[in-house]
Amino acid sequence: MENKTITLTVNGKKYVFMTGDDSVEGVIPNSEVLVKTLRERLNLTGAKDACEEGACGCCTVIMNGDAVTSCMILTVDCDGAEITTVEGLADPKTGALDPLQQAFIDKYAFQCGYCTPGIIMSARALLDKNPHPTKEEIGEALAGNFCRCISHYHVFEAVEQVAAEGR
Amino acid sequence: MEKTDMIDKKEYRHIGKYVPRKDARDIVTGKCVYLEDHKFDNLLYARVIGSPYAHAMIKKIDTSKAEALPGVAAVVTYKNQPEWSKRFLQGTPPTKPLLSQQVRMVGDPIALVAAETEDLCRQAGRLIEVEYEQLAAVFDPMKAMEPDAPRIYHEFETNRWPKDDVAFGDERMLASVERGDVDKEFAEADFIGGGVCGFETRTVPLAPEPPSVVIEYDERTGMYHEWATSQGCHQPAMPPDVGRMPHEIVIQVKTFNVGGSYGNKQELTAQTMYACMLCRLTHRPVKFAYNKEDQFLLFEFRLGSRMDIEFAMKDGIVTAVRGDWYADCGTVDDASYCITAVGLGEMQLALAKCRAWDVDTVMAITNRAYSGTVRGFGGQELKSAMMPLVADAMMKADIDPIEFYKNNFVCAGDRYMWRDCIWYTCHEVDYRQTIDDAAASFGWKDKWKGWLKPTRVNGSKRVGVGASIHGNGDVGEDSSEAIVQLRMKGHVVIHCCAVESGQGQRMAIEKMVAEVLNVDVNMVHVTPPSDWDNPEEFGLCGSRGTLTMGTAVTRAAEDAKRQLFALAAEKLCISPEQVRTEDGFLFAYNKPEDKIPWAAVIPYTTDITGKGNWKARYNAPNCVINLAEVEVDVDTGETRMLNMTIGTDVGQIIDPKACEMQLQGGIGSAAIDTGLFEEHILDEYTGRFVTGNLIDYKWRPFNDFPPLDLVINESQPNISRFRAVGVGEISGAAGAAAIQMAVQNAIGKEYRTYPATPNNILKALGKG
Repeated sequence: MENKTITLTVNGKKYVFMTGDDSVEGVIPNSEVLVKTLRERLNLTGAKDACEEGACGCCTVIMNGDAVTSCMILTVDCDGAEITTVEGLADPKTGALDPLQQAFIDKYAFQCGYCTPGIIMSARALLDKNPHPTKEEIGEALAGNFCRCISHYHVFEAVEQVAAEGR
Repeated sequence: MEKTDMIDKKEYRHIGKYVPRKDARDIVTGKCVYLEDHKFDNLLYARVIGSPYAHAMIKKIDTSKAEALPGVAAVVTYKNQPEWSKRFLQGTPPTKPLLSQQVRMVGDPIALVAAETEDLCRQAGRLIEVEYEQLAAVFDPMKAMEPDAPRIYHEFETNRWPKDDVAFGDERMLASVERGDVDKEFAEADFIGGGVCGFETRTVPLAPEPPSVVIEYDERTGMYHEWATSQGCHQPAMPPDVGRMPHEIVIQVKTFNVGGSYGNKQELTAQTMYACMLCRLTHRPVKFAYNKEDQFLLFEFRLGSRMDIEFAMKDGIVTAVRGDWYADCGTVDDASYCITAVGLGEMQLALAKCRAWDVDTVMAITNRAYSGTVRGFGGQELKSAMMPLVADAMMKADIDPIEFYKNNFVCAGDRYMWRDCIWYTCHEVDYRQTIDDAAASFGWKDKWKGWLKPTRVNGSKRVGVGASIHGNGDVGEDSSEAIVQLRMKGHVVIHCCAVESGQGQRMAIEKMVAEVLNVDVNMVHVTPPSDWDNPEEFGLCGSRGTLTMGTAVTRAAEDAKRQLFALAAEKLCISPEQVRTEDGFLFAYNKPEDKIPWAAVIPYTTDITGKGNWKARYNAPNCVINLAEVEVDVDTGETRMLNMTIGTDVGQIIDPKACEMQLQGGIGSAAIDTGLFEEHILDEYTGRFVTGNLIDYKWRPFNDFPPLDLVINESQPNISRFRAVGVGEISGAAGAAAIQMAVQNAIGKEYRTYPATPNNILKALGKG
């Protein structure tokens, strides 16, 4: 099996990985999905590997500006990608939270919190592209995020607050 | 009994105000740790290798190739199961072995595998060679109990769980309600209604984080150390207490944050026992984690419920009830008759003026995957099957359901026998005002046009309304103990085993203690959830945390405060009654400027320790009323929720945002939406579910949420210092029945089916 080098930029930090022959320790097998790489190799455990079929959105990260379910993307296909995870939203120097993260706290827009990183990343990707979305547009953007506690009404409040402020 | 101590709502420093949870920042930054995020050393992974058949005998099984696979640590079947683990049994009473030659459902273990990775477990599973003799399977509870039905356990001839002397802890479970002269009440009734109604859609609460455990066996002490994704630490430790494992076994349980549970991830009995066996056998910690598919197909379902009951009504009051309540537990249910025992209690709360009862429960065993505890514990199963039958009597009497609920629902002075077979007199609560307020907010008077009458019609689209109510005495269930320590620098430590699985109960008890001690909430800390490192605590279930855990920590804080004030009184040369405290300082009530720090009275390297507890009592039930307005397209059968009102009286809000979300949560977790679209579809030919994923099993996405109106009263009943009661358990328990009534009124025909899918609607309209 031919090995190949890939470069990922995750939360502003560049990583180079060897992919291909998984019999060699440290080489990412071609079958490895991005959420595994983030969680198990980079220790970025905010994205959850919950359904393994792209249906719950708990593993959502932003890749090249789009919200993607990282359980459905092979790491080997991410060469050159710019990836932001929930750990990368706060200001790395000051620790100041992204306005969306702060709004989730202010509005208590979570309960168990397991799906929250995915919801925040879907909402962040929407707001980056469309700073003033309508309620319908927010609902559409988050339609792939499963939340069973039913924090939806509070999530709408949080996202709408940030949307109103255009941040 | 009348209300004893009505007071006006108080203005508190913390209670009733939103304070962000301590874990809020970790949650929004992805740093919050769930079991899957923690790295355990030297871990083995385990999986069940399941039967492809719903009912079969294993004729031959060869695991040699699987055992030879490098990285496989153990392959256990019924043939080589260690002798010491053969007393690990599921069910109440304990019955189902972990492994047996007879497999009773699709996915029933033929082998348990432990290996270095989960993939290796799967590979090993594929190398196991099995020869089966297929047996006839049965999936309908009534057919299962017929004399010639296939026998699922040789112990139980008619596929019924035995219910004699079913106990839970020190309580005997209520299995039937029998009292009064039923025949006389029926003979004197104005109207009799009822019939048969089922709620058997095999729904699943589906917490985002699948159920998992990690267990390590301590060879020296003989104890098991478990990290569980459970909403309580006590429940996974229970199997030895309730006879499912040898009594001398001790399991110590800890949790991280838990990714949702909804009453479902509690005992984790099978997972715990599998991992206990494998970790002791392999001498390594073992992780037993379900993936989403396993969670869908194998984890604990909501109990199936079918009622054949009739109700006698006189002057708008149900005066007699007779019939049977059949439950379908699948192959096994660890909670079994405990669930219906609570349901029988709740039936009496709903029909609290009823004088004569003859209601029995029967739990059938079938060949589908097993049932267990789910939010609403007996309540949703009860109301979804019962309310359409009660409504039949209401309809015949032409009574407005809101009036019926006001006249029949429990209030102070009514007596009922709760799940523990003991009589209670309802104390303090009266929900008639809440029923009125919720109905008014919903606009019931304008929208209700009578039975089988739509609110409005627009072409093929017909709008109808429905209402249902629920109450539960379990808000005071089981025991809690807590310790509160006052540290000299003004910090407070609560020792109480409170798990965070979304309810915000850890923050709630911090606020209660902060209120008692008049300190900032940030000065109050709760110890990590661990049953061994904290006082005894049954855990969060049945909405009990607010009243039980809350009272235990409040009493512990009051005890500590009493000691603190005694020391301060000596120092300040005043009486303890004259001492006041604020933010870690002490002073005389009339000299706030002359203050001394707690450190001045708490000697260095010591602290003050207060103790508090709560003992179970069931005399102040909670209440939630659900009102639904739906639109049904009678051409397509499509049903849409237009809006909903959830009304309750929580006594006193502890946190307004958390309270709102506990009520909104009634939509999900196999509750309200089971009336509209949630169902698990079983292929009865193969015994396999065809909806075992998040695409085929329907759930409500963000872009499909109806307007939801919350009516939250705070009537300040004298039930505890902060006069608060939990409601999360029941927020959606009556919702499916409200939807059923709304659909029935919209289409103008009798409708008793769940969920309101186009097929079911068109069938009811004679178009299917």
